[in-house]
Order: sequence, then structure tokens, then C-alpha cells
Amino acid sequence: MPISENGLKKDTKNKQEQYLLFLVGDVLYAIEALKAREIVEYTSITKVPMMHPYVKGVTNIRGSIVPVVDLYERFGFSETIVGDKTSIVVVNHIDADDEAVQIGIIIDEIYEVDVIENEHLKEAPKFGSKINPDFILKMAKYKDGYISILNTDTILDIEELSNL
Amino acid sequence: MNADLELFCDDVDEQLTFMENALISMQENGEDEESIGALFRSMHTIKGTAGMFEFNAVVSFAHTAENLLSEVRDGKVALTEDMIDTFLEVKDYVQKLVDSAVNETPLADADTQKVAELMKILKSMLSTASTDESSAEVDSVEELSDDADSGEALWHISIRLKPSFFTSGMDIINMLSFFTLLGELKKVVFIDRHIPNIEEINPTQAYVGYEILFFTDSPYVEIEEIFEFVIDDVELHIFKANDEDMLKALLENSDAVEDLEELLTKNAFENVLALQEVSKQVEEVPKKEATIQKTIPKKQEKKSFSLRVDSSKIDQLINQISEMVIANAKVSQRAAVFKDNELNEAATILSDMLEEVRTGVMNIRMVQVGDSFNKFKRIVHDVAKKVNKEIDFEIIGGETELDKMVVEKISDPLMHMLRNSIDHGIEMPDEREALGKSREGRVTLKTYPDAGTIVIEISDDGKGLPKEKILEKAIANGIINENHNLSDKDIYNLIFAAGLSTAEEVSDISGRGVGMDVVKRNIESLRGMVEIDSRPGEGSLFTIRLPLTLAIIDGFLVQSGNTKYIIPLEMIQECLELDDHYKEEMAGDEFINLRDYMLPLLDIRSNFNEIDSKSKRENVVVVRYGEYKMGLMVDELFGEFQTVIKPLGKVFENVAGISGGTILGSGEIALIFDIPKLIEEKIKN
Amino acid sequence: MILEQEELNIYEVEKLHQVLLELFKEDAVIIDLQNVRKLDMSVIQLFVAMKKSCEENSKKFELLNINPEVLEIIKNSVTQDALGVRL
Repeated sequence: MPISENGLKKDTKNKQEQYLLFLVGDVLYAIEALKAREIVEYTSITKVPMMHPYVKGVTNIRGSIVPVVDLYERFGFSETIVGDKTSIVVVNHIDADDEAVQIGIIIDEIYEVDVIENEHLKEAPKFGSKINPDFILKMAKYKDGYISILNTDTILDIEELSNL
Repeated sequence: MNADLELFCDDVDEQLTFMENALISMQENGEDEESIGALFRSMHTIKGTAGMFEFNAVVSFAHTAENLLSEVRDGKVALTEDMIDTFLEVKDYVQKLVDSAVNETPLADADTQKVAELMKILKSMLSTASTDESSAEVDSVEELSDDADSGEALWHISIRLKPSFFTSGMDIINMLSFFTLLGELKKVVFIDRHIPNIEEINPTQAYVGYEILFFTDSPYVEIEEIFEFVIDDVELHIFKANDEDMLKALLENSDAVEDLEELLTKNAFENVLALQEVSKQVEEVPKKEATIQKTIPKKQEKKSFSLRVDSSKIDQLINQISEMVIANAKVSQRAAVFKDNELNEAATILSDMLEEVRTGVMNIRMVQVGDSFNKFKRIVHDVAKKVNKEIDFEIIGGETELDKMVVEKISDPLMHMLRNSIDHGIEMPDEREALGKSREGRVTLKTYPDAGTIVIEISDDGKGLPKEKILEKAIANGIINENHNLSDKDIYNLIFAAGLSTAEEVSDISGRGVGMDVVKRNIESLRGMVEIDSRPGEGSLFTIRLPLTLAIIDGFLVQSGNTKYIIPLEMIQECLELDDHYKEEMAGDEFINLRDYMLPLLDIRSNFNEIDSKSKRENVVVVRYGEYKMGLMVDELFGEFQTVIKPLGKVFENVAGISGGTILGSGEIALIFDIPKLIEEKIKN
Repeated sequence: MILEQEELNIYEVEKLHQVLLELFKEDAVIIDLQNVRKLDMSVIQLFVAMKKSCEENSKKFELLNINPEVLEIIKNSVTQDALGVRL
């Protein structure tokens, strides 16, 4: 249908993307909104033995068993203290074999979904960031400061997560 | 590939399997009518469906084979050993032709030649062979149907679609084109008089029919077979056009709207005209007693039939039922909170029913192993022929039911093991005779249920495994060191270790690039295990143990630390409380004395590095797998739980001892123990 | 009226019936099959019903621009007379 085709073209020309912004340990981070499949309230997690401490276990997301990673702990800090606003963002992760895997990440609070212009993006600094620079995809100018757009490919690298 | 073609391929596979089974059965037990019938029907079905796709090469090949089969069936030619072998080859080449047609890749020259050769052979076997030896090339369909034999006849076929016809999914127009494969349509009249006008018609109902005069050398059953899949959706009368009684009955039964006699007269149905001639002449003759109306013999009583269902649909159903179980558990919970007994009762009934539904759906996945295992007969036959050995192969317990997916996946490993047994296990006939054994080597494939698992045994009465050779090689490859103290059984099981193929040179039969290590891995991926035992000079026995189904188990729910676990119920022998009495007797925390049996213990908490546990009461669940027993130390026992196994996914693939997860009624997740793995780990340490 | 679908079959036939009922209100029923490449018996019998109704009400009924593929189907199903189609 011609109308939507034009619409699509327009969209791709637009130099901006949607991002999901959230707080982890009082710091604002973002991921590309397209990567987030859904956001659920924190719910009970079944621990799977032998795993890295930041792999918290598995939870039931509408009948599917989904692994859950504590983002704060993954960054090298302590375990997230679960509060009222603690949520799990289910991320669509594409693994090394090109297969889609859903993984939940624990975050402290959802901030909002917002648009960031591409021209406001900068390469991530090689050092100086609080977290592993490999985890940062880009830096983005947002409101008065900069926020890190997270690289879920490295943060949720299955090979690393599954390594005992 | 489009869906129709896929279906066609599935169908051909199935028909070829039928053929093979029929041929092998006759090879073993001699000629029997039923098998010949099955053979004929399969070939016929393949011809028909291939015709729908205009795969003419397949059609013409199948047609030639069918001609011979029809003569065999009619007793015109006798079925010989050679003929069976030829048909086995025909079967292979039908597959090749179909593959080439479906994939649109031309057949290799050698194969084309072979097909032509086979056609020649088939034709030479016909009773009428001498008359048409000249035309033994790959001909077109038309030519083939022309090489006539004696049974030519003009048939009158009357078809009325029942209102439900369109729901059968079959296309009547397509079916008409089948006729031209069998013979010549002399007259076709479309019966449209029952079609209502546009305001009254129910467009999904069928109102039409056909009257046909059909000239063919095919017998009645073959014509009827065109309607095989719609036999309940049509009113069908097939009779020889000169059968006056049948024609009269048909005309008399036609209603005023249809006025069949007038219609057929107008269309010059010669049999109708002839009948009118006759009746004019005998008008004065008093009417005979009303002829008993012979209806067409129906295709037996309504038999149960099978469906081809995408297994993902079943999985989806099971998932949905599981969701319902969970939702219903919440209802029960609320009912308890509100102390609403009636609601609670209703929820209980619902939950029982859901359980039944779930079991029923699970059963859909179960198939008898025999259907699939019968194909091994052919493989054994071929392999034996190739290596010049004589094999008496028996399948026992073919009626045992197993998850279809498991059956499919176990097929390759079994095939490999059977090949091995024949190639390496069984001696040459002369050698056997010299040893005082029968010339025929026995190979048996036996399947039976045992303790909630299915056991498949492959045994042979050959020379047994070469123990010394295995040891030598295992030491050379560094799998074990020289001063081992392995039992004979341990040594034999070394053949499953990677890189230990004992055959000095890889033979054409069991070579094929897979070793026993691959066999073992395949079996383990099905949550099964395999073992071997062997006696020099007496033979070998492979024992495979498999779970009944991959998707669901009866589980026993326990807790250790903060995690709930499921133990497959069928592996549980008993549960004990680990009281002071046992604790005193415990030998260094590793064993307890259970009725004079030293039972190894596995502490789940320490095994899985769980730190804290609130419960002081410790329980031991005694599990058995094969001949091994072990006690699992856990904190709490909750009881039985129907468990739908879900994979935990790649993130957890390295966690040994956990095979999956399941969602409990509360929505919580419990982890499922991989008992064989836990036992294996325990033995290793 | 031009029918848009390339294939008309039992799955479309109820929709098609509604369309034809609408069309039947016109003085002449002319159905253009230029886009149609495949049809099945349920559709053929619906056309026959339409033709019958038109004849009863002395309306013109015609199937136009029939593709060779569809002609072949009509020929194979021996419905040319019922549909008033010349092969």
C-alpha cells in the first residue's frame, strides 16, 4: 500500500532513534527501545546453581522461562536491593549463532522512553567510565549531561554468561 | 518448498515405507495377499499424487511397476525373489525420481539409465511381456496406458457430492483429471440441477455431481480408489455400463429435479439408450420383481485414520494447558481465601479435567516404535548382502510406544549400531559353521518399557568385542593408562570414547565417518544412556535407555536451599528421613547403609554450592537409573507434580545435573534434575 | 464488476457470495475474471447459481475476460454449458 511505504521511507531518513532510559544504582542508562521486548515488575527469581553471581537465575515471563541478569552486579557493583520500583526489562538478544534469546535485566527504576537525535551521539570513551567501556555502545547528550547507551551484545554475551 | 509439495513428499515417504515393509515381510514370510495389496495401493497412490503435480517421470515409472503389481495381485504372474529385489530397487528409484522432480534437479545419467533398465525388467516380467518388448523405453503416460491388456470395460460412474464435500479439502475437478491417468473419459455430464439460486444457496455446501462413462482396463477397486479420501463425502455408484440392473436402479432413484434419464438420454449415454431399446422391446413383459438395489460396497466400516500434525501445534497446546493449570491454581487459592467451598470444588474438578486433557494431548505424541523400526529390516538385508553374511533379524516389542520425536532421533544411532553388529559382530557363514554356530547370524532389536523408561536392546550372537584391541587402542590414544584396573564391562564401554574406532580400516558399511562416540552423544541428547556388554565368541548386547517423552514427566518436587527441584518420579525408589540413626551410621558423609546396601549420597546443597538452608530436617530421596542407585540429600519434600519440561536455554547449558525447568502452579520455576548426569558425576568422583 | 483475487476458492466463497448478492441488484450481471487464475468447484457452483437466478429474472449474465488457466479448469470440470462459457 503506497501510503505506508512513503511513511516508512520518511522514518528511515529521520536521524533519531527511540531509547528506553532507566536507573541503575542512581545512574541513568539507556538501551535502544527496539531491543526491549517488555518491562515487567520485579518478580520472584529461581536461583540456578553454579552460575556467576550476577546471573540471578530464571523467572517466568508469561509461561516462558527467562534468565535474569542483575545489571548493577554485572557492572561489577553489588547486588541490586529490590524495592518497589525494581523492574525487569526483557531484552531481545541475538546470540553468536544468530538466534534470538530473551534475557531479563534487573534495573532500579524505569525513567522513560525518549527520542535522541543521532547527531547527539558520541563514541564511547576508551577509559574513565565507571563501568567496563566494552559495555557502552555510545554516549548521548541528554538534557544537561551525558548518558551511556548500553551495549547489550557485550553485557549479555551468552558465552560469558554461561561460562561457569 | 511449498506446503503442498511438502505434504506430497511426506506422503511419498510414507507410501515407500509401506512398500518396503510389505516387500520385506514377503521376503521373510513368503507371498501374501495383504502385502501385495498394500504394495499395489502404495504404488498407485504415489502415481496418483505425482500426477497431480505433473511429475510425469514418476508417474510413468510408477505406472509400469503398478502394471506388474496388478498382474501379481490377479495371479497372472507369480511373485519371485527376483521380483521382490526388483521392487526394492524400484522403491529406491521412485524416491530418486521424486527427489529430482521436487528439487527440480535433473537425475544423474547413471540413475536415468537404471530407471530405464528397471522399466525394461518390470515389463519383461509381465505375463504379456512378449507382445510389447519393443516399446520398452521411458515412454509418456499416454503411451503407457495404451499398452492394454484384456480387462477393458466401459464403466458408468455416478457421483453426487454430499453437502459436506468441500470440507474434505479435496478438489473434485482435480479428481476428474485422475480418470485420464487410468483410462479414457468417454462422456462427462456435469449435474448442476440441484444448485439453488443465488439468494438461497449456501456457498460452502456442495450441490453438484457428475455422470461419467469411462473406458479403462483398470478394475473396479482402482476406480473407486480415486475417491479414497472423500468416500464419506460423496454418493458414489460405479458399475459396468452394461449392467442394466444397476443402471435401472440409478435412474429410478434419481428425483424429478434431476430427471437423470432425460439428461443422460440427451447426452447420448449409450448404455441408457441401449436400456431404452431393451425396455421398448420387452414392454409387455410383466415387471420383474423389484431388483434389490445393490449399493456400492463401502470401504469397510469407518476405520480410525491418522492425521499429520505439526508437532509445534501440540507443544503449543501443552503450553496453553499448562497456563490454564496455573490460572486455575490461582482460582483455588482465592477460593481458599474466601472460604468458598463450591468454588474450590469446581476448581478441583477443572484441574482434574485439565490434567486429563494434558495427558491426552501428550499421548498424541506417542507412536509405536515398530512403524519406524521396520525400515531396519531393509537396511539389515542390504548390509548383509553387501558383506555376504547371512542374518536372521528380529524385531521384538514393536508395539512399545515412544515419543515420536525420540523415535525419529534414535533412528540414526540405531541404524549405525545395527550396521556395526552385522559388519563387525557377526562372522562369515563358513566361519560360523566351523565354530559350530548356525550359518545365519542372529541380530535382535528388542524394545520394552522399564521403570518409566524405554529400553532398546541390540544383541547379536557374533564374535563379541575385541577386548585386547580396544585396550591397546585406548592406551595408545591416552584414554586410559596402562595400569588401569577396569572391569571387562568398563573396557567394552570404552568404544564410546571419542576417537576409538576399533575397525582397523574404515569399511564402507559402518564407516561413514561416525563413531560410537557420536552414537553415544546422540543418545545422551535425548536424555538417554547407552551401555554395552559382550562375551568373546558369544556376542554383544547394546542397551539403550530412553525417557518415554521429551516434553513431560511425572516429577517429585523437593527443595534444597532456596531452590525447588523436580526429580523424575519414575527414577525414585523411596524417600527416607535422614535421622540420627542414619547419621551415626554415615560413612564419612558419603554413604549410608540402607538395608545392607551401601548407598552413595549426594548432598545437593554442597554439590551446588548452596550456602544457607533453614531446614534442619534432612531427607534422602533414593533414585535409580539403570543399575545405579544414589541418595539425594535435600531439605524438604513436597510430593508429586506433573512436570512440563522447558529448556533453560543457552545461558545455563554448562550447568551439569540440571536438564531443564518447569513452571509450578504458583508461577514459580523449579529446576529439573538430570539424574543420569548426577549419578555419572558422582561415579567419576 | 472486476474480481480482484487471483485465486477463488472455498475460503473466499462466502465473501464472494455477499458480493454477488449485492451485484444481483443490478440490471445486468457482468463479472470480469481478468485477474482470476484459479477457481474451485465451490466458486463454479456459485457462478452457476448466479446464472440461474439471472435467467429466472431475465437478466443478462456474463463471465468476461476468462484467462486460459480458468478456461482449462472449466474445460476439465465440464462446466462450460452450466456457466454459458464458450471454450
